[in-house]
Amino acid sequence: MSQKKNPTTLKDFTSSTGIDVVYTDDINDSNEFFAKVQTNLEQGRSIDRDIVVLTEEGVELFIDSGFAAPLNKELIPNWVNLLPSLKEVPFDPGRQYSLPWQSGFTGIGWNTPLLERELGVKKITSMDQFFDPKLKGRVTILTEMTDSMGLILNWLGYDMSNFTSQQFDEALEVLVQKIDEGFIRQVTGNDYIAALDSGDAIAVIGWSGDVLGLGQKFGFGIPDSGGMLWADNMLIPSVATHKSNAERLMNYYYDPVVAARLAEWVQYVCPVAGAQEAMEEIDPNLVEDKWIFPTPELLDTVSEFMYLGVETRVTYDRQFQKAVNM
Amino acid sequence: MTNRSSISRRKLLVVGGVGAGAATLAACGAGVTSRETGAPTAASQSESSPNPEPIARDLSDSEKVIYFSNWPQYIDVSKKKSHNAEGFYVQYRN
Repeated sequence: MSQKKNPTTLKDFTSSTGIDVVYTDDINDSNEFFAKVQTNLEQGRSIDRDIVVLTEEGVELFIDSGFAAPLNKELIPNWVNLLPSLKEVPFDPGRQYSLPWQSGFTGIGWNTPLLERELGVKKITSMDQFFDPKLKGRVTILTEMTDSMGLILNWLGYDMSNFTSQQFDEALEVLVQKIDEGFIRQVTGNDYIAALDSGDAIAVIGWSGDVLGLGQKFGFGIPDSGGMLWADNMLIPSVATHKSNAERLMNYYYDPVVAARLAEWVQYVCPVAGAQEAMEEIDPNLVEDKWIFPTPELLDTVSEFMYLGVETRVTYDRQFQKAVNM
Repeated sequence: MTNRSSISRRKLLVVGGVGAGAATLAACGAGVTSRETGAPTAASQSESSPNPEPIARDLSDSEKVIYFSNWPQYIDVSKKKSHNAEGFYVQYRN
């Protein structure tokens, strides 16, 4: 695994605390990561990690499996800066084990010049546009069941935060139909960014920070039927041997100034209250950036995917994977 | 978040039964091993009721280090992220 040292906020953390951070960007997939460390966790052996960032589903898996260490909030006094909207989550009631690293939106991204050429518009505002016949074969969706199915469920008039299995099945049938008709170029993970950049894809179901980081030629928006809000979370594995140090690092990233510095770079939704004010000194142009500091109006356009629990989620994942031939 | 892998950053749980199986094994209460010695350092505790005490022996006082794993492109670096035809890459400051 590649180990990268000295990102700027981490370097400052080390300078101020004397705690060295061995930073590794080796998590590509929560499930893949879990599989990699599962044996050691089961045997109570070190996984050489004191803090990991996982999806909500990944956190749930660690907690349900008994592989997460409860947080000592006394060492994380800044946790009070966690945005109220992220404090109560079904996969970790009371945030006993996890704290959000970044949050973000699932919506539609597009290549503006190509979109204008094909549809005569500069942005996509609806799933109807996303599936416009003129874009047939030039759109991609995500391999993640919740992201893709969430947007389709809402497009059909259902609610991704509260739906029935029958509605899920119906949405899946619509997706299969779109695939069979050749609308969807690819069901992809992060590769959609390369496809969007190269022009192979004109529009994508994607993540806010990814697309916004591509540059002025690209756009991102929430379809009028609704987008999705999610969060990735820090967690300390039960076998971590530097738990207090990890909690101090969590506390550090919940300092509003540090959080603003991080948000300035990653361009995802900052989960720390006070960071917006701190951004004034870091990059005034980003203070009102709704994709980092969402407005109530923007938040009204998105939902969180319905909490499924591990068993149901696995069932739906398998149905989705079968439908898209993953 | 981006990376050059074909694997998505937010891929969900796809291994059926992994949680339940792991939970069963975890309940056996295997000891926790030291990174350096590989020897058991502490007995694990039940995870069903969160406890403010760590379940592995905390070496933080004597070892000033943290091992931190994250997704690609998910932390500030000295060089702004950029991309090529294959996707994103980042150069970290040494």
